[in-house]
Amino acid sequence: MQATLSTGLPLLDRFLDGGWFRKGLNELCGKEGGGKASLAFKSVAALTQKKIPVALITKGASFFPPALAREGIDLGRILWLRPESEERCRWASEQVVRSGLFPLILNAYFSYYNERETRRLQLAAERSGSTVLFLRHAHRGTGNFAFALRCNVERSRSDRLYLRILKSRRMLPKLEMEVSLDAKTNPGDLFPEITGSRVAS
Amino acid sequence: MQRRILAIYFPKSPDPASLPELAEKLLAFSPRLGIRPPDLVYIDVTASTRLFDGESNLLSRLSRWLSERQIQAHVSLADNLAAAGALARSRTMKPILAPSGEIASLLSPLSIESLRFLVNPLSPPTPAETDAASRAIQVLTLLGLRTLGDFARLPASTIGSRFGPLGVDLHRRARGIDELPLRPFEPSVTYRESHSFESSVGSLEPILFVAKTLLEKLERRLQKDLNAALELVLYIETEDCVETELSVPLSRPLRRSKGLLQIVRERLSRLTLQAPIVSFAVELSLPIRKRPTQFHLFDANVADQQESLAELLGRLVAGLGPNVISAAALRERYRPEFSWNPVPFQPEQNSSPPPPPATLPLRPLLLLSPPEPLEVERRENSFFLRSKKERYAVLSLAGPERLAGEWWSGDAYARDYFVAEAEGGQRLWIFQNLPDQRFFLHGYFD
Repeated sequence: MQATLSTGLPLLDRFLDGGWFRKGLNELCGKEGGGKASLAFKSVAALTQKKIPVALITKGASFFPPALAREGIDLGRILWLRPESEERCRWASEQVVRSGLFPLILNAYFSYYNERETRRLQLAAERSGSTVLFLRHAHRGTGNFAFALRCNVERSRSDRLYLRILKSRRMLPKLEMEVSLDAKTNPGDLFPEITGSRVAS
Repeated sequence: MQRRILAIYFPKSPDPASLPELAEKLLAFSPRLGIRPPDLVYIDVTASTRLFDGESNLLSRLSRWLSERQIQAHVSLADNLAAAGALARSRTMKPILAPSGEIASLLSPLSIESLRFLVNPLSPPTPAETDAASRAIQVLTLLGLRTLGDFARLPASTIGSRFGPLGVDLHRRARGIDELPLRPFEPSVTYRESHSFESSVGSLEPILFVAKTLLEKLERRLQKDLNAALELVLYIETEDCVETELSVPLSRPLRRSKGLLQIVRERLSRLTLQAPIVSFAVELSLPIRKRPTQFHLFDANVADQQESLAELLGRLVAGLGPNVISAAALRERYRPEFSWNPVPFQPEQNSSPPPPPATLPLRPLLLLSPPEPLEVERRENSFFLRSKKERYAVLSLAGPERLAGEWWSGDAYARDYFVAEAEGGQRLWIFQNLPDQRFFLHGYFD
């Protein structure tokens, strides 16, 4: 069985047969404001709460730390790189992945990357055992073959996300599911629940 | 053995930076040396006096050493720092040799103004200490006391209530009693290695080959001194006699040549030179003490991981510059743009636990900088927001949350924030700028 990293949402982990691909590239794409970052930051929060550092690479300063803190993320454990150009973002991402010091690397909002770059990153992730998670507003560029998991995220209602699996190397069927990020859970639950059911498209 | 301290006072100290240089040269008289900026050097000669055949010979050797270098200085030798310093600063050109146990009698004739010299033997007095000493001297002068001897003869039990803790210290020092230890002076060390090429080179590989050798030498020197560097500086001289200096600040102290070589590689690969290189030098500056890390009982990789993280951060600084690599910390500011600031990334330190999410206001994960202007369209029952890129059909609007302030800084703001839910499911953070009533898109709840 493939090694995985928890998404921070136990029921989503069950849908994805364990969570994000470890030693591989994962992608969440969708419109701005569609909810993909909220989903990605669930696993970031879970890791930083266990005192595990996470790397965040964005072009310029785009994320808003007060909102990250509200998601339960320990800001002191986030290495935040904010290069001004996409070329430097991709270089920085490769350096961090190669180091193997961060179990999760979040590459946010690079608009373009090519086959060679994604392949290099994939090999680096395989060697270091890191999980690389891309967030993208729109799907551009080539090199999709290197991704182990690709999902599209849309917001169906304010507290619900609509997740569609576009590609999975784990041979998951192309699924669609509704995910709730609402924190109103049973008292003993660690993470918010997922509602809805797995629907084969 | 009675401690013996040599104090050298430089009445014409040209600048504070020259004192460490002088102190470094004076290490020839004893390795136990301390400085009191800007003008005083102490040497503990307790053990080294015998090497000079006695204290008189030591003083004459020192006087000759100073006159050969045309350095004007006043010298005294006494039992403690305070007495030696005060005697040296009493401005007698002839060296003062205070025999052991007779300090009080030598201090006694000094004027009551000399009490200032006894205030803080190790470092320049703080403004509070200077004020307190001035007040004490004023009161003692009014009482008719003229010398340190007069002050020393006052009953010790009355000093504390009149002059406080500083008065008690001064009274003890005026009686020749002082146990302050010498604060050792550590001379600055430069870790620099250079190489001149027999024939100029125009490609990266030969330079990296040389850099590897130089860094290995530097690593051995740092290791020997238990030091690590906080800055890497490369000096490159080209055939056209242009010297280029490249500095890479390291966010953590580094010593390992392997990691430093990767930083050099990264920095040089981004460099464009107009002519081939004739000489190359590496300097590891800002050294700090770095003792070997104790092996972790349960995880042997901890020290290695910390070194690897230091190397990674060094490489990233070389490739991206120092200002874009950090962690983040929240700040008590209402204006969203200023509500956080970058802080050094130090994951091994126990950061304060994040505040409970429920206590923090609802904020978007993605913030636009600067905010994008929005045009508002109203059609019958529909409400649209149009940005440069997109048009949003708004289904619901929650708010307002008024954020205003900073009128005192001349950069006042007043905004009403709303969370807008658009038809495609997107959630936007928009605000209306109250002075001109215009709408802006400030972020996405992505």
